[in-house]
Amino acid sequence: MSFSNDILTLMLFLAACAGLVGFMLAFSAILGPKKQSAIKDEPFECGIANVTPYSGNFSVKFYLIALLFLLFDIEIAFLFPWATIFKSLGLFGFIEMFVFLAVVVSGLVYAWKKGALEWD
Amino acid sequence: MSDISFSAILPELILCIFGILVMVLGPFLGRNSRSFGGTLALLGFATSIVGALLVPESAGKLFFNGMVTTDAFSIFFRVLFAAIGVVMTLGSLNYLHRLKLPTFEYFALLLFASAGMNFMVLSTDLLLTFIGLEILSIATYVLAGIRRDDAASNESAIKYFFMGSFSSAILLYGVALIYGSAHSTSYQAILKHAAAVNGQQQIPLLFLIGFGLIIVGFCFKVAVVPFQVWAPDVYEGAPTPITGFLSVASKMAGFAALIRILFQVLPHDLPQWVQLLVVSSILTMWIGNLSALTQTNIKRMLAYSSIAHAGYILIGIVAANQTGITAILYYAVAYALMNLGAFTIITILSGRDDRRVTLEDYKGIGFQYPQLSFPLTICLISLAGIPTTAGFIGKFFLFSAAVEEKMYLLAVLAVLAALVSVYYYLRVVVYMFMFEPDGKREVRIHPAAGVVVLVCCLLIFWFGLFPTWLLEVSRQAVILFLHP
Repeated sequence: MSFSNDILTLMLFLAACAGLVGFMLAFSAILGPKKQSAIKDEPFECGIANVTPYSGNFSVKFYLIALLFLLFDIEIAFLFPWATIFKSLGLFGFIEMFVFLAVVVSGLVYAWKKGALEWD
Repeated sequence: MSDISFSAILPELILCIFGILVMVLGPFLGRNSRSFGGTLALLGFATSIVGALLVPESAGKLFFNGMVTTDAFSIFFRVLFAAIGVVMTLGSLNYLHRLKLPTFEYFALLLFASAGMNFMVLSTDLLLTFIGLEILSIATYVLAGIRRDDAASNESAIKYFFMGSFSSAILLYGVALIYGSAHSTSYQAILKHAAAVNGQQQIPLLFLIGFGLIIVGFCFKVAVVPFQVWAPDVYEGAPTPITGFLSVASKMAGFAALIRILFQVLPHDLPQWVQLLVVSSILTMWIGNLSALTQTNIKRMLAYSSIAHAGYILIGIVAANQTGITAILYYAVAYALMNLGAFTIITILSGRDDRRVTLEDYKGIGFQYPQLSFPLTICLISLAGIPTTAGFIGKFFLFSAAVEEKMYLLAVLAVLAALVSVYYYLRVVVYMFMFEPDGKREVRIHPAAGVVVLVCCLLIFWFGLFPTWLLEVSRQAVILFLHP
């Protein structure tokens, strides 16, 4: 029985969410002032008038940097919980974490040697 | 923490260490030592076979907080996957050379993919199964697109990535629902929970939906109808050796994990999934085989053929008796031999740009290159299931498993589907031997690939004529799934 109760609560919550969103959208559409102009239809970019239409490519280097950032990000995400229970893990946890770090660093060495850190 | 046992995951540690070694050494050694990566990978896979055989086998004991088992079933597949790795390494050495592909990355990813498959079969926890599946999937997404300058390879990789992510998400959602219902992701705890709720009048909807989603997720991975549409495009565009790998190894890993979940976690008297899978099995066999009839691209044809073979394997799962599950393991080996053999030959013949893969390209090579056309014929007749080959024995036991369970309609439809398939397998043979060649072509057979082809063909006949040993090994491996 608790299962159907849970589902009921969930459904009510969903209905409430949908109702609220629908309410806000509907009323702003009905009540809001509508003044169209060419300037208003332009994409907003820090208040500066657009010089050229945007259609550029991002250099793939940005993605490489983002990936390398992830490497360290994940490393930190694992190091924090390890640090908090460091004492109870003992020597085993210490060695294990260094094995993990070695694996992560080997990924960095690979990227480095492959030239992922060079901007040109 | 006392159940941490590194000997329980020895083959996986070996694969991972060799994978990291190959990956990191690659950029240091540079392009002039290409064959070194292959040698190292070969060493890794060979050591992993030894490691898998050294793993102390025990059905009851679990390691790593109940996540890892070392039962005979897991060891069977760990040896099989490492052997597939050896075959893949030998079979693709020359291909990588010919297409100037990044050797070290290729072999590192192959080693990681194998480790992922191993984790799928040894896991007794839904989360570890999922992580293994992701290790396998992410490695194979990259492998499918490793020909970066080839549009078809890119298309294949991106399609595989999207469909794979989609199915992973469905699977993970199923895991979440199961966790919500059973409050655990460990197989033991879920089985206990399932047994408890099975006594009640109704099985909770949450539990059933969760299991449905997990089964759907795996059905995507092993490409059975109605979740097969991605397979032909992905298989056609991927580099030819990788097509072989996808159609054999990752499919078998999916089936192995699915078998463990269906037989070790689901309560045995929960019949809902059986009817669904029976329908799926019939549709998979027929849609796979009928679609293969009209294909003119060999890789695409074998993609549909591999869909059909997934249907045959499903028969063993729905029959759920000793003959059926034993036959699945036997068939996994037979299918690996004949498909990898066929794909190795197709790789050799695929030419400088991996494009000579249409039926037209096979015209008249029969007597031009008998050392390739005869082995290919052997692999194809084994896929078709003609007696004296391993493919026949596997199909025979799969179908008789259905007969044992009085699923006569399923068995009859399966036999008819297998008959249909003979047409398109033999059509390749007809093209090879009964047409005039279009002209001379340069085909060089690397000794490593030659050895692979020879061994595959010999083993197809060996297991076809003397199946007792392999059947006995398979039977030992599945004993834990059989209930008195």
